[in-house]
Formats: sequence, structure tokens, C-alpha cells
Amino acid sequence: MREEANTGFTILIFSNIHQVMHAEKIIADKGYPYRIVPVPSNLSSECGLCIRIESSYLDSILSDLQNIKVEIHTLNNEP
Amino acid sequence: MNLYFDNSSTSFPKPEGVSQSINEYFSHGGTYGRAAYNRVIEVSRKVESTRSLLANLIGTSLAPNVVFTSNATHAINLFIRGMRYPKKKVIISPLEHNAVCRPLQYLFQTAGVGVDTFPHHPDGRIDIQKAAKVNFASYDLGIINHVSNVNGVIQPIKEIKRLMGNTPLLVDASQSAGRVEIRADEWKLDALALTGHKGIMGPTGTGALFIRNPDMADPLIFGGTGSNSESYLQPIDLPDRFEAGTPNIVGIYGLWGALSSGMGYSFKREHFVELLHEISTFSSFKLLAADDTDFQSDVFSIKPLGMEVSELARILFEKFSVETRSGLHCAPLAHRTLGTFTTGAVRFSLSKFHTDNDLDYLHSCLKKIDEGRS
Ligand SMILES: Cc1ncc(COP(=O)(O)O)c(C=O)c1O
Repeated sequence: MREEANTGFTILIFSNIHQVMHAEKIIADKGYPYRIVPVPSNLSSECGLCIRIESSYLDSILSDLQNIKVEIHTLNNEP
Repeated sequence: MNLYFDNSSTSFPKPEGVSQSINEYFSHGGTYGRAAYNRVIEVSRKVESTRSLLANLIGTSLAPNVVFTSNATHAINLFIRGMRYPKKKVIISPLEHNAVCRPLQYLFQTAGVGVDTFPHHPDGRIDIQKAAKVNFASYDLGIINHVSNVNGVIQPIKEIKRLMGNTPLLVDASQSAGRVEIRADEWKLDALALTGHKGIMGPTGTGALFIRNPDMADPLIFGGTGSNSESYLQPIDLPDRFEAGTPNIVGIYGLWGALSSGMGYSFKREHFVELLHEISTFSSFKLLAADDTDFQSDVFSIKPLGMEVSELARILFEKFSVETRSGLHCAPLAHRTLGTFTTGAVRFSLSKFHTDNDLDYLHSCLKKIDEGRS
């Protein structure tokens, strides 16, 4: 598990559950801290799930996710 | 002793992991996606892991292009009925099942789509030399049953797809998945339908369609996916485009158990080939099998001479407890090709659980019946 840098959180939203689980596997295998959380309702009316990561890891996670389509939202407060 | 020789209808027994995995699901429950508590996350991981195992089994790196269906029939209908047919012509193997023939008959009646048959050898195997002369560009689609559910012939899919070029090919892998090698990417397959309960040895009610280019077919079923819910339009991303409604989670858990069992064959291939050879020498039966054993899967049939096929199946069961399936096996086209329409034949379909001893027992039963008649 990598260090918690505590630089705030970023939400990664994917097009469907398959993509969330695919991305989760990559993120977990690389040891980044993350949580699966409901998609915040201010971001989408979607009832599904998304991945919350620490913002400091955003760039490296995005490069690990390569061509998976992802929407990125930075959070001000912990949801 | 395992005397169940009807694994092409549905496999039995199942690997232990199948019921274990199903029980695991019943102990924690939960749906696929749509929320973010642990039960749901667990189920979603398992469903996606099963999808990856299936992708692996059929040799594709495109896991999201493997969409769950309730069986092969559903997968075949999804593809055949979702496609467009501007050329109004389809070409099929001579050993197709009604899962293919009936949707095609419907297309013929409703849209005038005609059907031709690949040139073939007497056992129904497609003749590659003659197929090289077919003008595939004049067809919208080719459909091939990878392994015949009547005589077990394995079609040379890779070579045929090479000849077909850009003309799409749908492979019916109902009998082949879990039994013979499939390399969807290497063979450049456009679509492949499979069922979970036969060669893969999972539960009934499970299946999948692999579709390389999702734009090739419209969805068959529209509805909720837990994604893009603000829209009334079906999502375009895979797998959701073709997976409306709550999936068969119980079945998919069982399928995961089957796919992760890693089970190999308990009988020796040479022993099976020897059994076929012995049967071919019995004078009261006509063996329906591949002319070249290199193209033989572990399914074959026999037609008794001078006896009803149902009578042979009855004797096998009542005197010897051997379970088989007699009749047309939902494949009248295959029986026409093999000269056994309308009576059909008695089919023997093996599983990885059969041992050399089981094959010896089957041999002794058929020998006794043959001797009693000759
Ligand atoms: C060649 C072939 N295609 C399709 C099917 C249909 O499979 P399912 O009943 O699982 O949809 C079968 C099974 O009987 C089959 O043998």
C-alpha cells in the first residue's frame, strides 16, 4: 500500500460497472489507496459506483489506466 | 462408474466448484452494480472475473465484448436478429442446429434473406479446397457450428475465416467451448456464441456472445443497466449495450466455479479413438463420426440397422443404465446431411469426468447388443 498523502480526493467515474471493476483491479494491483463509493449525486443522477482516489496519485493512476474512458472530478470535501 | 453419456444436452456431473460458488453467492447475496456497498462490490467483481475467464477461454483480449446471455440460443438470436442483411444472403455449415436454422428461417420469411451451404465432405466437414472458390463477398454473414452435436466433427474455423476475408463469421461454439481450442483473436472471429452448461460444465441459464464490433448488431433487449440512467437510450458502451436487466448472478457464480476448476480429461484420447474404431466394426450399427479422427470431438452417434433408434436408447438405459439421447438432436439439417433424417440416431456425448473404464463399459454394452443381433 502506498503512503497516504492527504491532498484531497478525486472521483473517477466510468461508463459502466465492467470498466469500474477493470480499473479497480489495475489500481488495487498497483497498491494505490482507493475506495469504491456511490457516484456523488451532485456529479450524476447515476445510481452506480465509482472509484475515489487521493488526488496526489491522479496522474500516475491515469497513466496506469491507459485508454480506459474516465471522467475526473476533484472533491472539495470528503463525501 | 459414470454412465451419463448425454453431456451434449447438458453436462453432468459438474465440478465441485460450481455448487460451492453458487452457495457462496446465496450466503452473501447482492446485485451487480447499481450501488456501492460491499455485497454489490463483491458480486460485481465476481461477474467481471467470470467475464475475463470466458474471454480467456475463447482466446480474446476483449473482455467487455463478451456479453452474458441466458444460453447459446439467446446469443445466436442476439447476433442473427440484430444484424443487417443488405445482400440478403447468408452461408452456413451443413451441420447447423435449429438454434441457427430457425432464426434464419424467420429472417427468410420476414426479410427474404436466403441461405446457402458451404461445400463439404460426406461427414459434413467443410471442404476447404472447394470453399476457396466461393465468392464470400456476396454474403452478409457466414455461420458455422464449430463442433457438431451429432457426429462431433470439428470444423476448421481458422482456415475458413481466412478464406472469408472481411465477410463476418459467427461461430456457434455451443459444443466446442470447454472441449476444443478456440482462438477468437488469432482466428479473427467476428462473433461467437457459447453456452455455459455443456462443455464448460457450468449451470444452465448461462451463456455468452462475443462480438468484436458492437456496431454490427442492434440489441435484442433494451432496459436498465445501472449506467447512463438519465437517458432513455440504451448505452453504446460494452457490455451494457447488450446486457439490459439484472444478470443471472446465481448462474454466473456457478459458471465462475466451472471456469476456475481447471479440470482436464480423465480418459485418454487414444482410448476414445480406439472405441470409435471398435464401434465402426460392429455390423448392426452405422457410426456417425468424423472421417478423419483429427477432426473428431468427443461426441458421436450411431444409427442401429434394422432397429428403431428409440429402441436402442431404451435397451441401453434399461439393460445397461447408459443414458443417451436418441432422435434428431434439434439438428434436422445435420441429420439430412448425414443421411439419417427423419429417424435420427443415438448420440453418445462424453465429459471430462469419464474414465477409460467408463469407455470400456460402453464398448462392452454395444458389443453385447451387436452380438445379440448378428
Ligand atoms: C450446436 C448447438 N448449437 C446450439 C445449441 C443450443 O444451446 P442452448 O440450448 O444452451 O442454448 C446446442 C445445444 O443443444 C447445440 O448443440
